[in-house]
Amino acid sequence: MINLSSIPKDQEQDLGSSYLLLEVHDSGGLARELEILRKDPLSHFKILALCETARDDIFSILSDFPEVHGILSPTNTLVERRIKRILGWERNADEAGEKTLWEIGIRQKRQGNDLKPMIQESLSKAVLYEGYAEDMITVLAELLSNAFFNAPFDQDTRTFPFKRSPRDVNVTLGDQKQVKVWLTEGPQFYSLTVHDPFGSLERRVLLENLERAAKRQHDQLRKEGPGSGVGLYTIFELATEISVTIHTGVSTLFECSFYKASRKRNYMEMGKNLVIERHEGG
Amino acid sequence: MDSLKIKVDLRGGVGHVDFAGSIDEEARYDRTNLRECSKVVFNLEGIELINSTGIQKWIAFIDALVGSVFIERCSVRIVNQLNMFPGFFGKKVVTMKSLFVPYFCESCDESKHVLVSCDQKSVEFMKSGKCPGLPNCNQCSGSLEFDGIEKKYFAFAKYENVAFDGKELLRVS
Repeated sequence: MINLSSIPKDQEQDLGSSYLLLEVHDSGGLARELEILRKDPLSHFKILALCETARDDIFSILSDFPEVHGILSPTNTLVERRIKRILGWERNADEAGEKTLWEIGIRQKRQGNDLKPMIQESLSKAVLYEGYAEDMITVLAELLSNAFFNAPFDQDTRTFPFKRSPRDVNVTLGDQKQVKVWLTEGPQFYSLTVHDPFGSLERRVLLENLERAAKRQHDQLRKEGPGSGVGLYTIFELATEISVTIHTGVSTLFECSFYKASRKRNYMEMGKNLVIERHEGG
Repeated sequence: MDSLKIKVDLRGGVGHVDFAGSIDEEARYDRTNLRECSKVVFNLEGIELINSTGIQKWIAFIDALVGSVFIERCSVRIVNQLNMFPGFFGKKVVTMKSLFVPYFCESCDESKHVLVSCDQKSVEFMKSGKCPGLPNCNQCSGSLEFDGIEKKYFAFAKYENVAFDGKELLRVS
């Protein structure tokens, strides 16, 4: 049922915060095998579950194990509902208890700097652990870097015009295209959402980057090239819940939720959830 | 515009460097002039933000240094980065002299980052994944609790590329 893609034991100095990647194909025997893993010398790993299918019976078993820090799956109904609401621009504040604090469209990468004080101001009255706003600003920087450098795709030349650009270049999107950013507040979470009008990201590439970074081996950080390849991993480490919805050739939506907590420990104990969905065409 | 302010104090072959701001794509290290230093001491308390592009440039900067690197007043943010990215200090073995540890005061309902010296006793605790003591709150004098997951926060203490030395490295005047 489970294929282990574990970190070699000679990396033991890193065990305190390394991940064990599990491929989960079925629920049969899953609980028993997770119990065995608990007793295994590998049990000090955090578990990141890669689910082939999105099934409630699998999620139910995985959620019984606090060692499972992340679930990567094609879909998760709870998260999906939220995504659909956002995609359809049907934000029903009464239904979800959410309100939009601000929403903005930007065409230049450097305009993202203006959003940092907006985040700080929006969170200034809430009782949150020290560094909460800075974590959210870091996530915003990763999302905008992705939206302005990795995502733009030129349909005519079939190329990514900015992918190789140094990251300190102030990229401007053409054709009146813009990246939308909004911050919402719900009863338990703040959510930072970034939408790009390209839909060019590959689910496989995102997962490969995450897996490579999460293993924390010598190839974790790319030393050459414009990007270090750890943006999604950084987001995964800092946000509580991440959902990525890619509509091929149309749009990519990253929604990152941050559990409201005055203590970092409470925040960390919420665990993680990552969902990446890809839909063909618009 | 430089997002990272770097203040360098060069005396007797030792470079004391105070950083303030963001380790990001806009950070510039080309004016630090630390190449001739046999020792550099980084005060990392003022680092507020770090992003993935910034890490790439930061590592290139560290790797280009000739002298040994000492870290003092290492912020919680830097420790978290080190735990996420074991190669955060590049190929160097750095010596940590002091770091901030995150605590929480229940009665004040506030986070408190407390500076801890990397003396032998503290390092023994950290290497076993434990918090090196529970100090009292500077406001209400109540007991502080560690705010985080100890094993995770102190994971870096076992890295082969991090050494510890709690003795004060005095500035040469």
